[in-house]
Amino acid sequence: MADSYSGAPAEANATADGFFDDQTLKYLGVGLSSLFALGVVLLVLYILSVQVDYGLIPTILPQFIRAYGLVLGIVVTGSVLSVTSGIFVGLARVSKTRITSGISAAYVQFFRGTPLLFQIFVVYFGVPTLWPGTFPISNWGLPTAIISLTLNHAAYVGEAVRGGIGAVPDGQMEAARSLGMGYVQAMREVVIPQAWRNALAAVGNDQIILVKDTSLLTVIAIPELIQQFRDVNSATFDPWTPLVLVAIAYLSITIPMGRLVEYLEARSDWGGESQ
Amino acid sequence: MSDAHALLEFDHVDKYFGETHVLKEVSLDIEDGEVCVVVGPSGSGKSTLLRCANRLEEIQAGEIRLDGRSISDPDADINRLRQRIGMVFQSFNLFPHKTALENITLAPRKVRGIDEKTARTRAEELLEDVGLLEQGASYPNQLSGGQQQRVAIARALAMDPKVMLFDEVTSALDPELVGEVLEVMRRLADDGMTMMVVTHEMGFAREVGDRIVLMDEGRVVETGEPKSFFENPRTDRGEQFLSKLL
Repeated sequence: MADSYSGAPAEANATADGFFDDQTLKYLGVGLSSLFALGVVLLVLYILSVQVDYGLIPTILPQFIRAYGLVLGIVVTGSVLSVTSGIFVGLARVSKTRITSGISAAYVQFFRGTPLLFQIFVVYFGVPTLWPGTFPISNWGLPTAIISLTLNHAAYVGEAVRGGIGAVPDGQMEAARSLGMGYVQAMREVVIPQAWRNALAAVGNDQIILVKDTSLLTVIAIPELIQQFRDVNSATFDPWTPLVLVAIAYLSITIPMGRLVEYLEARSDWGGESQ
Repeated sequence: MSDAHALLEFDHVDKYFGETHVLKEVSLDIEDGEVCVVVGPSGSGKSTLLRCANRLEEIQAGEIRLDGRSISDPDADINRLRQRIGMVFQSFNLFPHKTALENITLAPRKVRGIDEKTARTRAEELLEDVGLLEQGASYPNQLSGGQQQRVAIARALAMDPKVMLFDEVTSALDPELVGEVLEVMRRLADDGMTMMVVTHEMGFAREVGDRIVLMDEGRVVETGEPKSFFENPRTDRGEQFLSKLL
């Protein structure tokens, strides 16, 4: 452990002024972070052992499981729709046709530039009044959830895809075209597979944020996870039991998603890094 | 088809980058089977001329023809014409997400519609020709610069081009890797391939070239056989250029 910091030249310790030399800093860092970790662990143990009412869990678990299923459904639908449409937003953004790229840029400006909560309100309260009677307000919550999450996250995915395409060297398109491929074919066969790899981390990040964004749907009374917390907390005045369940529920979705992104990145390694 | 025209013709070509006049009424004919080496100081327009030959750059006046058919005409079926013109780049531009073999088979399969097995067999022949049969399953990342450039040559050859364009293909290579790429090009020339080669490798130009074209400031200033060009340049520009080569 002590000599694992092999990057530092041996004389660094000797030449420093004694207190802030590399070794001291290292021990200070290890000490402080250990102390912090210990504090967190103790706090969590305290919450889990004293604050959480395990007797309450069987009663509230069914409603949490229903909420969990609902969130999963919204996430899967929202992910598929936002990634698919985000790819088109990104492709439109790099189009040489001014109108196409302009529309895409304006789209991104609006949906990235206003809060998701505002967009949810626009869809939930605003849109039905435009065509009165067309939207049954009682069933409009779930469509609102899907529509607003898709529109919002398509903008972020679009930006990630645009960045991914921009990072593919021009020479790739030139090489493909010089072999006789058309523009669309060259994009499909050569540019997009590389752009996708470049964009993967950013898209994955965004999709994890999408999971957490479902919590905002509590404001339009979607029975998602935060809504369950509010229910239980207002009925029992017990914050920690439902909070712990909420944490477990979100993490059980977001942590595997992070893993999935890592796996997809590793899979498109193409013989190891060298660029 | 008739011998009334050369295989690749540049006919009074003018090219501008914005306000900059980079090619000035360039005319040049490359005959079937000829190895035409274009040399000149950097910024002389030699790479631009080469890139115009498969319309990676548009020209503003004049015409470029392959086998009598216009390449520069806006209505030309450029994707079809480009299949007849192989191009090799300074920076290789192999597709990093494809293996060496897939790099070679991609265009024959997707553009020509050749079935996978036939394309594969042909690609293996080409890899063998450039001495890389063993490396077919490697990704570009796993190959040296010289190996990558040889795969790039094989990739261009897989479309059975009538003419090959080489754009400073050894300039990005470590000195010890230059030889293996030049060797492949030399053999290609010996096999009768029509080649237009932009290079700083004067040894190669002299040895393999049928004709040297010297460009300077967007013009062709001298053309000649290698021996007479290198020993007895006819123009002051030619003499100046050669004197700077040591």
